[in-house]
Amino acid sequence: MGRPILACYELRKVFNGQVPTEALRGITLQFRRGEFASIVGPSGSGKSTLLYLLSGLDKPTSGRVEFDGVDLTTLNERALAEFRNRRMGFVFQFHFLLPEFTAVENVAMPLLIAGVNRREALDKAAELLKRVGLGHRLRHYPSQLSGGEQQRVAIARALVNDPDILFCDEPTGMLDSKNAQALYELLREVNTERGQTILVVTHEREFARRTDRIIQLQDGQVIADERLR
Amino acid sequence: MLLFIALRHLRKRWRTTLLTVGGVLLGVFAMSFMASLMLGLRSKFMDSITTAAPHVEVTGKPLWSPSRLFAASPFEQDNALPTFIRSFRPPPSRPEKRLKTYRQLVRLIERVSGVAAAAPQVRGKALLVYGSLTRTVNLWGIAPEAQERVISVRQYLRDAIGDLAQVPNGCYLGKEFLRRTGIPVGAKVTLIGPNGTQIRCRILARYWSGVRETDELICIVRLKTAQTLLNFGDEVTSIAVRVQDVYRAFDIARTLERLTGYQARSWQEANANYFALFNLQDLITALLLMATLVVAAFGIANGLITTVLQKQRDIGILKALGLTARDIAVLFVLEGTLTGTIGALLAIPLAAKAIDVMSRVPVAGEGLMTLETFAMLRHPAIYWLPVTIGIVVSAIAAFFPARMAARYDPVEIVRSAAQ
Repeated sequence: MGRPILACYELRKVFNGQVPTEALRGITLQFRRGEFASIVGPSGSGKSTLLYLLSGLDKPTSGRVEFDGVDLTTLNERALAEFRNRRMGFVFQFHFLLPEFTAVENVAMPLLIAGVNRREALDKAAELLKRVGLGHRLRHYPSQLSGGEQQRVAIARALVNDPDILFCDEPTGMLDSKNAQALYELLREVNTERGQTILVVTHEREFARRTDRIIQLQDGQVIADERLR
Repeated sequence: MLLFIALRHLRKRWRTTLLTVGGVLLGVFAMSFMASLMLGLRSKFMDSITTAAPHVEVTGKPLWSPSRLFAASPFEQDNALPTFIRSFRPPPSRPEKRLKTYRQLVRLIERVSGVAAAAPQVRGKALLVYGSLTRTVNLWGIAPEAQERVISVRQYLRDAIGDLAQVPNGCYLGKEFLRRTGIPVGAKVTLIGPNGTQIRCRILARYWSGVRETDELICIVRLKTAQTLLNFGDEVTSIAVRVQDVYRAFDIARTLERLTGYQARSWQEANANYFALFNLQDLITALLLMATLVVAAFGIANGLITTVLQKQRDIGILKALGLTARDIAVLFVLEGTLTGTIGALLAIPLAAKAIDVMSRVPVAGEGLMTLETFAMLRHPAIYWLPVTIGIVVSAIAAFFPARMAARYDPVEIVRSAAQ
C-alpha cells in the first residue's frame, strides 16, 4: 500500500486548565490515499482535538504527526500555514464562510492566499461551485444562501486547492437529514471521482457507517478501528 | 490579496469605516487649518516688521553692558529652569547716548558685506497741539531720500498731498492717530519739543504701516526738524540698516557691533518678546492638535478592536486557510492605515476650502497688527505634513488591535463556536 498520506504516532494532548485534562492518551493511526474515513465517539472523547492535531492547527503535547512523510510538529508557523493552504482542505460544522465575500470569492480564497492570480482563481472557483450544484449562486453572499448551500460552498472551498486530505469537523452538524444525505453523496462522489482522501469527525453513526472506515474514540483512546470496505 | 480582503472589510463595514475616516479627517483638517492660521499670522507679522522697521538698528549704547552677559546665559536671570523656547532677552531700555559721527558711521556701515543701505534716525517724544487738542507723539526724524533705501516710508503713505523731501516743515501722521483725533490731512499742527521748542508743520499724508502701535503714535518729520525739536544739534539717535537677507540680520548686527563699538539690534532681537509669545502660542496649538489626533487615533483603534472582536471567526478561518499570524497583523494594520489615509487625504480639499474662505473673512477686531483679513499661510507643507502625521498615527493606532488579532488561536475559535 506504500507510504501512508497521513499518520500519527503516540499522540498525546494535555490541556492545562485548573485541572489538567488528558484529551488524547497515545493515539497511533495511519491513513491511505483515497481513504474515506470517519472518527466517531461521544462528545469529550477527543475526536475534534485529534482532527486539529492531524491537520496541524494545534500542536500535540507529545508524539508525531507525519503528513506525506513530513513531521508536522517540527514545522514553523509559516511552513504550517503553507501546508494547510496547499495540501489540506477544511470543512467545519459552522460553515465558516467569510460574510463579506460572495460564494465564488469564498471558494477562491485559498487560491488567492496561495498567490494565484485573481482571474484564474475565480474561474476555478466558479467551475467547482458548478460541480457542487451552485452554478446559479456564484455572486450570492453567504447570508443569502441556505445552510445546505453554505456547506456545499465550504466544501468547494476546501477542494479548490486540490488538497491531499479533506478534513471535515461535524460537517452535517447543522444540517437536516435531507441536506446531510446530499452532503454525504457529494463527499462520496468527490472520493470516488477524484480519489480524494477524506477524514470526517462526526457523532452521527449513520453517516459514519457509510464511510470506508470507522475509528471509535473514547476517553482519548482508540477503542475500535473497523474497515467496512 | 490582503489588500483585497482589507478593502472588502472596509466597504462592507462602511458605517464604522465612515466614522473612523471622519475622526482622522477632522484631526488632519484641524492641523492644516490651524497651522495655516498660526504660521500665516506669524509670517504676516514678520513681513510687517521687516518692511516697516529696520533690519538692524545701530544705537548710541556702547557695548558690554552687564545685561548683555545675562542675556547670553541659557538660564533666565531669576529662574533656574532652562528655557525650552529659544528667545532673546530684550535688553532693558536706558537713556540713550547719541551718535555724533553718524555721517562717517553710515558710510562705514554701508561698506559691510550683506548690508544694502543705512540711514540716520532721530527718535524722541514731542507734544502735538491742534486747536484745543494736545497729544504725545513718537517723533521720527528721517533723511527722506536715504530713508527710502532702508525702509520705505512712502509705500505706507495714504492721501499724500506732498513729500517731506520737498516740504521742509511737513509731517506724516499715523493713520490711527488721525482717525482718533479727527485731524484732516493738510491741516497745520504745532509740535513742541521737551525744551519748549515749537515748530508748525503741515500734515502731508496719513502713514499706515499695519503695525498698530506705530500707526497710533507716529509722527514722521525731517531729520533736521526732529533735531531742532529735541535739541540734538547735529546728532542722531540711531542708524537704521537694511540687509540683503533678513535672516542674516542677527549675524550682521554682531559684525556691526564689532566694527562700530556701538550696540546693534537685529529685528529678531527688537521683537524678541513677540516671537517668544508666538512660540508659546505655537506650542499650545501643537499640543491641542496632538490631543485631537490622539482622539482620532483612539477612534481608529476602537473601530479596529470592535472589528477584530467581531471577526474572530473569520480570523480563525483565514488562519485555517493558510494565512500566518503575520499576515493577519498586516491585514489589520492595512485596514487602519487605509482608513487613516482616506481620512487624511479627504482633509486636504476641505482644509484648502476652509483656508480660502478664512482668508477672505474680514477681521473686525484690531490687535497687535491691523489686518484686513486673516493672513493664511498657503504652503504645501501645511497639507502634506499633517497628512503624513495622520497616516502614521493611524498605522500606529492599528498596530495594537492587529497584534491582538494575530494572536488568536484558530483552534480556540473553532472549538468555542462548536460549543
